[in-house]
This record gives sequence, C-alpha cells and structure tokens, in this order.
Amino acid sequence: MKAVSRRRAILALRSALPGLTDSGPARWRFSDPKRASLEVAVGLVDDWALFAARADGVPFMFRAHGLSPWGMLLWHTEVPPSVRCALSAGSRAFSVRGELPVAALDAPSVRCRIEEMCRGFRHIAAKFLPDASQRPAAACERPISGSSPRPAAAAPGPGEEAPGARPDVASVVRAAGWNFSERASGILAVELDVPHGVEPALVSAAPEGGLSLSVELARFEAIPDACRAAIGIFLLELADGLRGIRPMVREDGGSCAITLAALVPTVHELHGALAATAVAYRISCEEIRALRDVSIAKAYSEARNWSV
Amino acid sequence: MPEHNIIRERFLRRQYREGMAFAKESDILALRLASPQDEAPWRYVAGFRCRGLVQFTPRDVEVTDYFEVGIRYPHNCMNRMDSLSCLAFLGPPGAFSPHIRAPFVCIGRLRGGTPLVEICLRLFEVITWQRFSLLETRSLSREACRWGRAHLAELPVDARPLRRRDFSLEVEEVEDAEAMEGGAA
Repeated sequence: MKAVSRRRAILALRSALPGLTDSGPARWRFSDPKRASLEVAVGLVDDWALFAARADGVPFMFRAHGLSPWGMLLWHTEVPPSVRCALSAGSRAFSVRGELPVAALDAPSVRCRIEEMCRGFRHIAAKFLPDASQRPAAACERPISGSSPRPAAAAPGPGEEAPGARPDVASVVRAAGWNFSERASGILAVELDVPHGVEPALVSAAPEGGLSLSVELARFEAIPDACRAAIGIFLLELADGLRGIRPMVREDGGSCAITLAALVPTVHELHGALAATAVAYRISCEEIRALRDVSIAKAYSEARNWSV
Repeated sequence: MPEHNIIRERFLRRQYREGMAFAKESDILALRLASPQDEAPWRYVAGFRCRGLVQFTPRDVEVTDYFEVGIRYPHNCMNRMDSLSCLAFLGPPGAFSPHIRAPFVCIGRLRGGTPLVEICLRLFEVITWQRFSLLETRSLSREACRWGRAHLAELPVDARPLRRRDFSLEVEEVEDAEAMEGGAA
C-alpha cells in the first residue's frame, strides 16, 4: 500500500470510529459500544483493514463448545456474512475475523459495514462468551453512533448502489470483465478459471443488498467422520488466509455441499471477490478430494493437532 | 449390498428426482430415462429444444432447434467423472460448437458426483454457444473456433436461461365491453 493511501485509510478509519485507540504500529482497537467486554482489533495489512474480535483485552479465540470444525462450517450459514471463524495452523482454538478493502474505508457506507461486522462478532460472542445470554437482546441492536443498523440503509456514495436498489447483476458482471451465462432469473454463472477448465460461480443479488457469490467446491452423498473433521480443519485454516470469502457446508437429506461464499457489498469489489474465489478454489479443490481418503484424513488431523 | 453401492444408488435416485423437477421448470429441456427398467436411474437422454448450430458443408452453418445428448453415471461416478465416459452427443449430425465433435462433447472438468442438473446446464451452455473457448488447443473443432472468432457479435445463438425465467403478470379487470373497445382503439 502506498504511503498516501495508508494515511488516507487511517484518517478514514479514525473518522468512522471515533473511539479508536492506538495499540501498536498500524494497529488500533475499539470497544463495541453494545458489549464493553468485546474489543475489536484493527490492523492495516496490504490493501486491507483487518478486524479481529477480542474479549476482555485478549484475542477472542475459543474452543468450540461441542462444535467440531465441520460443525463450525455448518454454523457459518447462520453467522452474518461479513465475519467468519478461522483456525490458525496448528491451533485448536477458533478466531473470529472480518475485513474491509482499504478503498472502501473512504465510502460513506463504511460505518454501516463496520457495524455489520460488529453485529457478526456479537452473534458469535453470544454463542461462545458466557455473559452473552445475560445481556438484553435489544441492546445488541443499537447501531454505532452515527451509523444505521444495516448497510442497506446507508446513504449511497458515488458509484454505490442506492439503498434497497436491486443491482442489474448481468451488467455489473459484464462491467467487471467476466464471462457468464444466465442460469435462471437473476442468477448468473460466472466462469472462474481453474486448473483443467472453468468452474461456474453463481452470482445473484443478495437480499441484504449487494451481490452474493458462491462456488461449490465439492458435494458428497456420504462422508466418514474422520474425513469431515479433516476437511473442516482444512477449510477453517483456509479461512484464516482468505479475504472476504468464507467456506460453508450445507447438509440436505444425507448429502452435503461445501461452498466458498462471499457477500460483495459494492459492485467495485466484485472483480476482486471473483479473483479471490478462483484462487481459493485452486488451492483447495484437490486437497478436499485427497481428504476424502480416510487414512489421509486421519493423518492430516493428527498432524494438525486434532485427533478424531 | 456393499455400502458404496447403497451410497451410489441413493445419489442416483436423488439425481433423478432433482433432474426431473428441474426439467419441469424448463421449456427447453426434456429429460427421459434411457433404460427405465434398471434398478437405479443411471442413463438419461437429454433433449434440448433450443437454438444451436449445425454445419453440413464447410461454408454452410445453419441454425437448428433440437439437440440430444446421452448422459450416463458410471459405476465409480462418486469418485470420478469426465465428459468422455459420461456423455455422448446423439444428434443432430453436424452439430457445430468448439466443444462438440459427435459423439464427443466436452463440458469442462467434472467432479465425482457432479449433479445431473449441473450437467444439463453445462450442455445447454455449450450447445447454444453461451460457453465456449476460442482457443483451438482447448476445443474439439478448430473450424468452430475460426467461425466463432469471425461471428462474435452473433453469439450466443440462444441467450435464454435453461430454467424458465420468473414471470409476473398483473391482470386488471375491465369494467365493460365499451371500455375494452376504447382501450383497443
């Protein structure tokens, strides 16, 4: 990141978050106004502002209470899309994180996006931090001062969608320079360039505003527990290195589908999200295929300090 | 029955259910079992009533409106699938696309356990030139690649989605016949 844009990013962050305090070079923290014990650490790395939840001053890393890595991926479908759980390599504790591209820090909707992220942090904290259940639910719905509770209510900036506006998905994808075909009304299949061909990523207008993007990594009719555990660990470690994309698992009547999904709040971020999804697909599809082998899966889990 | 056969059979029955439900939502796709007497549904004939191209002589590329492809799920389909062993282009003869050279049709990389609906969607995209590569090293017909480069503005040949588009129609009641005539005038 260039020095000028870095300075601008810091100013934008300070303007969006008046309570920001320094905690090191290019690192800050602020307290969630709706939950004082929940701190959010902010760091600038490359072109991204990284947000990580902290509880009582220490990184909010938790051992899942009864949730396996696979269960965590299933639970991801219920968590607000701006945040995700991740595993650091070799660790058995999950961390909670989210991020914004530095270019988005200048946009008028940045407060709403940060508030949305805090809502996600609170959602996860409510499940895993013991005092969460004692707090009144209404308190968790108050927005950060000066922001609206949901990004859809944000005032549109130049080049941003008006609140509630449904973007013309085809023209947005065309403008981003990607090939696509229409799969159904409002659902486009964008061709991601992956090894040995192309893989369709489905792009559609998201109900919460912006675009939703998903690509199926694998689908299983039945899968042994050892493989579930290993794939879960692998995908949560992958989530540690991804930006704006999160792995999810959906189970339906015995079969399960593993997808990489992203919510793209503004049309300018679509190209980056598609490119990142293609990279994530490339580095994970063969690994998941290999982890369907029970012996490989068990060896992988053990090497990662998880035994099944 | 070995467990892998039970899993495969469950998978095949699911594909049948999902495939037939999808065909009902399409005005273009007609899906039928190639061998209904089999215990598990593993072979299909997919008919596509859509615009695509055929070539009978080198200079004569024409539009036609019906295509058929055979789809089969081999024994190891849960682990491995590819266009060569799973698909057979049945007609019409002379079908013209960079990814069709009857009986071969290539719809890209298939994962083990690729859903029937996904296969039909990709076949449709290849037939209608919604999805194509003009790189001759990545195609089955150099002639089609050359033709495609020269006719990019005419592509795709059929831009409809395979699943029927949502359609909402608001009907207003007209009070009397005079109002109707007035509206017509």
